[in-house]
Amino acid sequence: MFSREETKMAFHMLGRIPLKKYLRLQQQIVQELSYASDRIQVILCEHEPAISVGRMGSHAHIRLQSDRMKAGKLKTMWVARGGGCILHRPGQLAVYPLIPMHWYQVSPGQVLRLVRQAVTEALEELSYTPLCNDMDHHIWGRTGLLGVTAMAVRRGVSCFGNYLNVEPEMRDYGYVDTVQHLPADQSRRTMSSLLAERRQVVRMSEVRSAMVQSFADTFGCRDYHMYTGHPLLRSLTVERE
Amino acid sequence: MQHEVVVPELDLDGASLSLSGWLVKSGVQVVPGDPICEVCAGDIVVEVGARYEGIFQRESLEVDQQLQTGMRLGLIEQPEAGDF
Repeated sequence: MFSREETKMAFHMLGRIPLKKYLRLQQQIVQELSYASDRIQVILCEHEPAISVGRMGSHAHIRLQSDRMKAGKLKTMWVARGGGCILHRPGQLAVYPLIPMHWYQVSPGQVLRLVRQAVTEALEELSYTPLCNDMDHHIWGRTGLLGVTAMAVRRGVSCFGNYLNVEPEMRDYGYVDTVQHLPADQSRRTMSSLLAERRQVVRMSEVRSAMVQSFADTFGCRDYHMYTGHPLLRSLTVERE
Repeated sequence: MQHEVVVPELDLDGASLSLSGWLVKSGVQVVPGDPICEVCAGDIVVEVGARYEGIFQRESLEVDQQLQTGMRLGLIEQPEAGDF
């Protein structure tokens, strides 16, 4: 019988990858995990500049003029996940936990709560405590929204995840409304960053390490494996060639 | 025999649920695991899949319509042995 103590996890560090390419990879991983799997895969990466729009988002939430979109080489992509509009840039850490949910015996609500818990504990490990908020599954600080959780469940596998602004260039963030419902102590729908929050250098490598340990702990995994890249990325590259 | 396809329990207290899209038309043969529709619950969207093999007949629900847990999304009709 399944026991959380036997959870197996594989972390894949992809570095910087275009969102479009990641989405193709995610589709393949979901397909693979939906057949038979006994492990959780967690992908950590950063994306090239892009704006993704989830099922709760709309063009009205992006207040950037077209010339500014062109200058910033920002393209809008409609994606099949929850949540609204998210501006992606290098310096934002994307953490994607791909969980075969029947095998791990977890509900969509539990997945959202576990992901927020894992990100919160990673930040606490870095000596930063986000503000408490039970209204949603995001990460809030004094300067606003630091991390947004936006997910989907496809073929019984969780996909997408949490986007934490560590130290991205903040240009244009003020023009993209990421959330529509604000907690009582917040006033901005746009994203801030960990750098703005802490006012001191935050190293992406440290955040990544804390995130790996925290996800392993939160999902009850004693023994995990870490990889650079992902074997399915190779087949995506070959397909394009 | 008919099997109901319903909005599953997502374990999200107070989340407003809506139909974000149909992934299969009425009258189409489905097998277990085939995606039928997508339910949006704010921060997460969940694909509802077929659990039985048969012909799917969907309810007259519009995209963006509000849903509730347990609400019927459609039926999967399995032919009886004597129907062949």
